[in-house]
Amino acid sequence: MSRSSASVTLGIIFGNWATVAGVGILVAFFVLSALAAWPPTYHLVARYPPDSLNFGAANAPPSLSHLFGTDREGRDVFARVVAALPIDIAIPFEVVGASVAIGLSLGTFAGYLGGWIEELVLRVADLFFAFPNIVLALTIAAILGSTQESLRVVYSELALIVVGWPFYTRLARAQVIMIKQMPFVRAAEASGLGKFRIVRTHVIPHLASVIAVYATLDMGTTLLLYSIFAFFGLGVAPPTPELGRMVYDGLSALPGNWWWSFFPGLVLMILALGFSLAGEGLRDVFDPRLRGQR
Amino acid sequence: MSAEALSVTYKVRSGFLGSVHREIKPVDGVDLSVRAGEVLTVIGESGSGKSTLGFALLRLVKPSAGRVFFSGRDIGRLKSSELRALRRHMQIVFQDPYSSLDPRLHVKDIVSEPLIGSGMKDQGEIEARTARAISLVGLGPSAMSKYVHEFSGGQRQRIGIARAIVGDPKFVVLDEPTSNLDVSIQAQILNLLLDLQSGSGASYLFISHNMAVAQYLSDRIAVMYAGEIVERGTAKEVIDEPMHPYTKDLLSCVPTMDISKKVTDVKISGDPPSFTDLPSGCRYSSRCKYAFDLCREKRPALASAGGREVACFLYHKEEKDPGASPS
Repeated sequence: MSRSSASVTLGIIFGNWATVAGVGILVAFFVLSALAAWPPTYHLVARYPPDSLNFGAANAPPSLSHLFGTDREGRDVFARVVAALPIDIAIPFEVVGASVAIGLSLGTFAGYLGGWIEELVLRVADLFFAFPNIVLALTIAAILGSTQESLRVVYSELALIVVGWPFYTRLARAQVIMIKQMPFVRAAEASGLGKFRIVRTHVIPHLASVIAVYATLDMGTTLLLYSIFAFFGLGVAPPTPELGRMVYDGLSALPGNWWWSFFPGLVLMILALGFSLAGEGLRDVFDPRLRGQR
Repeated sequence: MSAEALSVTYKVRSGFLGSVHREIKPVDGVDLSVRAGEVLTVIGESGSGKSTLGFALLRLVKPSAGRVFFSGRDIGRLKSSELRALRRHMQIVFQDPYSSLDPRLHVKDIVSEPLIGSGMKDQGEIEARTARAISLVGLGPSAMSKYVHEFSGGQRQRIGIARAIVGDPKFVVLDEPTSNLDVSIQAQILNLLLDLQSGSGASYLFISHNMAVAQYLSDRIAVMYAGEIVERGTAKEVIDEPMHPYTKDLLSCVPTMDISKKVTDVKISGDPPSFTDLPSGCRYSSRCKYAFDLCREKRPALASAGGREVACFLYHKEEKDPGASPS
């Protein structure tokens, strides 16, 4: 008997060091952020609260008591980085998740049905492509802008979804057009399977790998885009800790107090790397043909 | 399975921004019937419309004209749910055993598709029929839960055949099922198909460009050229005494092991005509060495001559009306 599909999947994930590293990074960050997000467990990961001012210890370089040093107001940079993780991990998942959901359904719909529906969907997507996405996203977030921080976070995510979905729509549609011409789709039609079932069993699984790879890469990009929002005062506002915001805040202190921006930037980079490596592992799970080729 | 005046038309756009619309007919007014339990081979060069004919018979492409009857029902008039329920009985084996099997599904999920497509719900029955089809094509039970990339080309084609026969089809289109395989494997697959066919009594429409294979496999042969059938008769008649100049030319291109029949240097001159620019009159007239004036003016109809059907004025010179009805 062959192994069950679950054990095959696990075998693929753990059979490759890069995937292991990617999944390891993400799991480590998820655990850290979960611990940091829940007040009773916060002290397990960080010694200081993220926003307690201590001017006596301001501008301290990294040391044993302040691993990542302290900032201008004497706040522990390590504590702020840890406290920023929940929001910085949630945002890419929410933004990319919503963009993929919209893009995948519209693109699959457009590509499989064709005709005027396809034209309409594509022309609307083109409309969004006509603007540089960061400019468009910033404009939307600024127009929607609110003085309430919780609303500002929602609006800024909305702005990123608005610029994010057209890409997945085009990607899904292009893939569907290619996949629907494959003889195995014709074979499924010859077997009497309905359109909905063909899309579900033959089209979506082939899309999934490509979309998963782009989506995980996009998570890193989204993380960075979101930090630009913070820079323009459109996303989270101080004193809420957020990695991108901390990088930009620390830029003015370079090269002297390098640790203000270096450590948040390093953590951002490792997080983005984790998404990419895990994404490649995901591709191997979805595509049996690529297994073992490395 | 039979077809009356079946045509398939494609619209082709060309020129600046697709401003020029043209229609091509890869299948043009074909009458065809495959009798119960027989193997009919449709033979022709690539681009002669033979695969499109097979697809149109199964309604995988929509015919632009004509009707197709399966078990006495006009399948063009069926509701889509009725047609889908019927599909397990009219199946196809594709040319390419690689792209015609979804690489992301287990073999059992590929093979059971015609059963699921016809609305079968009983998992036990689906499993049992799938296992039976897989063993009929000579694969072990362990194949069920493997992926297709774990198999060789010949084994993959066996999986494709298992999918076609799983629903006890009455009619199977074989679209050049061996042309992508090694010669040593081809014979195995052809013998498997013959065994399955004689065991089930199904009728097969075999699409091929290979005369030797056609001779080995078929009861009757239909020769197709530029979307039309130009000659049709029993395999023996057509191979031993071809009548249509095109059939003769095709056969003269087949190398033989018989040293008494030296390969004479007969080649078919020129290229097959483009569907966008067909010769007027007989479509073979541009390449035919016997062509005379009438051939270039009128299209010969497929009519009986010498115990079979031929579409050529060499045999119907006296007929001034090319509309003589084919059987």
